[in-house]
Amino acid sequence: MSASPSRKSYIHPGHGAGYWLIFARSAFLILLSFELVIRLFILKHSPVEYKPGWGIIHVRDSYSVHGLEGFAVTHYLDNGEIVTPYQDGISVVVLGDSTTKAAQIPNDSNYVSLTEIALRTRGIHADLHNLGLPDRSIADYVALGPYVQKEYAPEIVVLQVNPSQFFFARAENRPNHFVDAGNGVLKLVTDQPDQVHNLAFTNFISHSGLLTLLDFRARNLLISHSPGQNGTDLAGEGQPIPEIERPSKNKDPQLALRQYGEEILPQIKALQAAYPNSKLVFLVIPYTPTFPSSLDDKIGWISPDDHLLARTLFFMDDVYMIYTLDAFQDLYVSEYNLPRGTWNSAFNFGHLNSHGHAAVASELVKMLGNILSYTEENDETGK
Amino acid sequence: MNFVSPQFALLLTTVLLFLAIFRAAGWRKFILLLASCVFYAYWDWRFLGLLVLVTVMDYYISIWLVTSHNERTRKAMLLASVAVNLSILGYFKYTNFFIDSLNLVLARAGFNLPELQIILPIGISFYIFETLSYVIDVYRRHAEPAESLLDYAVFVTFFPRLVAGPIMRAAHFLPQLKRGIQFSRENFVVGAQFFAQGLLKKIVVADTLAMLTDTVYGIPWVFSSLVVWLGVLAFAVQVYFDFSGYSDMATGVARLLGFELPVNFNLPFTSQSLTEFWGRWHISLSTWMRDYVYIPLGGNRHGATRTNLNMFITMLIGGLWHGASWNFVIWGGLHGLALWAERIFSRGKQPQAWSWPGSLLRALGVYLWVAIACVFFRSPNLIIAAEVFKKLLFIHPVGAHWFFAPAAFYMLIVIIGGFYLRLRKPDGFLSDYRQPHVIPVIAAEFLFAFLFAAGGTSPFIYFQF
Repeated sequence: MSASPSRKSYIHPGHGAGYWLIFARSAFLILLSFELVIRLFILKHSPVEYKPGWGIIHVRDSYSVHGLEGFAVTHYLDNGEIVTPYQDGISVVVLGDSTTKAAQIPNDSNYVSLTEIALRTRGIHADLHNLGLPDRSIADYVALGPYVQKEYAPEIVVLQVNPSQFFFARAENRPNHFVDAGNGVLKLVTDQPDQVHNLAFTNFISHSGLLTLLDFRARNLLISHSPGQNGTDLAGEGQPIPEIERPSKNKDPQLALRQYGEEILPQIKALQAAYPNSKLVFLVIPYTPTFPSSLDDKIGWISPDDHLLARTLFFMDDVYMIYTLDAFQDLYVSEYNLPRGTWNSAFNFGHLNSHGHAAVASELVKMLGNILSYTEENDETGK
Repeated sequence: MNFVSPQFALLLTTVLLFLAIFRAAGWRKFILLLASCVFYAYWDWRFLGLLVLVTVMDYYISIWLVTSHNERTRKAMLLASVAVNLSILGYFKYTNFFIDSLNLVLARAGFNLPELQIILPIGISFYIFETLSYVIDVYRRHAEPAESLLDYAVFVTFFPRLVAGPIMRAAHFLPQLKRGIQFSRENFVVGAQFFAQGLLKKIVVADTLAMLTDTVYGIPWVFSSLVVWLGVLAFAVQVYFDFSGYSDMATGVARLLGFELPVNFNLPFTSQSLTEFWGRWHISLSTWMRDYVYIPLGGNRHGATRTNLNMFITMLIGGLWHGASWNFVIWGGLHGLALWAERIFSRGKQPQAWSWPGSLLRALGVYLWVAIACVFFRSPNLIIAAEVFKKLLFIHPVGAHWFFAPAAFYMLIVIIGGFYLRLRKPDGFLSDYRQPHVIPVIAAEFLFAFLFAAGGTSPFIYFQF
């Protein structure tokens, strides 16, 4: 840098209109470059709307671009449903969070689509509806029940759940939450969500990739230490259920299991009541990997809260449960592939990658195949 | 206090505000000293005492060195200063290394000395080297002593470069302090440009690469050989962007205050030889080691073998300066041996002219060697280093697959970008701070850093030294 310093002016040297014209042109070209690159390759949200019962969902036939982990364009149908390859057959609804939504990989590669395709190869024509709706608790799933029944009349409802969703089902600051009604029964309380008032702003910034990414970064900066709160995704490391000692710290694992069961059993019953005509399949996808501490150890996924949730569900009556721990472990041991992490995320962290979705799909295909084959056999024999 | 923190932004804003209000030179120096103490005390106030001790002692010794005409007294005072400085550094940094090494020897006899609970004061290696160079230069009469204790204290504690350099010489800084703090639009724009550039290097590139390297060097046995190769190659780029990013930010902050810091990095990965690499990497340390270790050892004045030996010893000490472990000794030693070998094989040959693809291949060779030697630099211990080398040598090649694309991308950037900057010498775009596009470009750099920063900001690698 040359030229003599000016002691007076800090902002601009006081050039004429030519200076400011080039200044403005440079700023415009820079912003335009940012906008184009971001909206094409990094982040572009589709507009959203508030639909009674369904909450805030993406509008029909809109698209969003997600390139922060992996890269994919997500296509939305009615009710925020993510498009799957087939739209006919036995109705199966898959309710889940961003793991089910899988915005990081192409729509036909997430576990819902893979399951739908695999069932067809087995001769089972099922129409899986991917309702990957982030930021929903068990209370939200219960509130959705009548609407899902009316819209899809599902034979089976697959509920991809994690411990956080049971935890936040009790949070009073959320639109849908449970309160105790006595005798171990829960009452659902529904309020108008606060976020509805901000929809105009959300939809305004969704027109620009740059503004969307700025908003995303700013929110992350502000709430990075409070996962699951107000508008963030509930997918992620499990939150401990309140008033229960963390399983890893509880000296008596049987006690932890019993306490955990006592807490979530009413919520499971509420779900069963909300989907009376459907079979419920609970899908637990372990989140947190455990890294080996010595040369002999292997990578695992036994995070205490996920594990306890799966064990608790396993011992419950009248529910089907899939826990993908073994599938993940097999994926690593047999092929050295990992279920989480893409080319732009930390090792084995973040959302499921294509290997992870394939592993989940293989488990889901087995379970749905068994249930639907059994149902079809019953239908054929008139039982 | 980290440059990438709201606390630092608050401190810098406050300092600039006070400097703008108080125009008297004495007050401004006092404000700088106070800010530096706050900056340092934010990490651990107890070690301010150590800074004060070193500063006061070396200032008065330097006065004595100037006023005394008895050479024996002068030499004794110099030795006393060097001894105290090195003792402080030795105690805090090397005591446990010494105990561990002794335990290795005594283990067979059944002895085991307990380690001491010693906290390593942040930046100690940097400011001890600066005070040492000051006293030695005054002794050699290569530099004038500071005009006052306040001036000297501002030099030692100057916060932009207090904890991780560049290692400054008093002869470079004190004249600037004497000239006075100068606010100007040029300093503001150039300082902001340096800071934005450093921020990009640190939080976008280095912290992103840390996601790969931290994992690979944490559990190397989990990964396939290809992943470990990627991690090893990426670490050299990470440490470059991390440290040169810090140096750029330090330069930027200093420039905002009206001071210029020495250049610390000059496109090291375009180097055509290891000798050239060490002239372009951590230049302030390399020149310090040359002036206060290599030349006093005899430099190149006693024949080829002695020259190479002096270079090897200098590199060993340079390695040990980085950290108190055998890893760093081996790292320094490997570079010393490589330099020795390079001098033997290139004896009498002139540096080769730029050619395609020869220059690129030579640069890639240097990069490859630096990256491989860095295995010892980055591994937390020799066991991990051995595991990394097993993978690099494909002894147990199978393991988890993980292609971390940003690593490959940034490696290409550092090589291609480095060659572009070195060969084309673009000198029109940001070279004149008055050009109308300069401020929008700087703003874009800050925006880019905010939008594409890695998930978490890790501490600067060189803070630990």
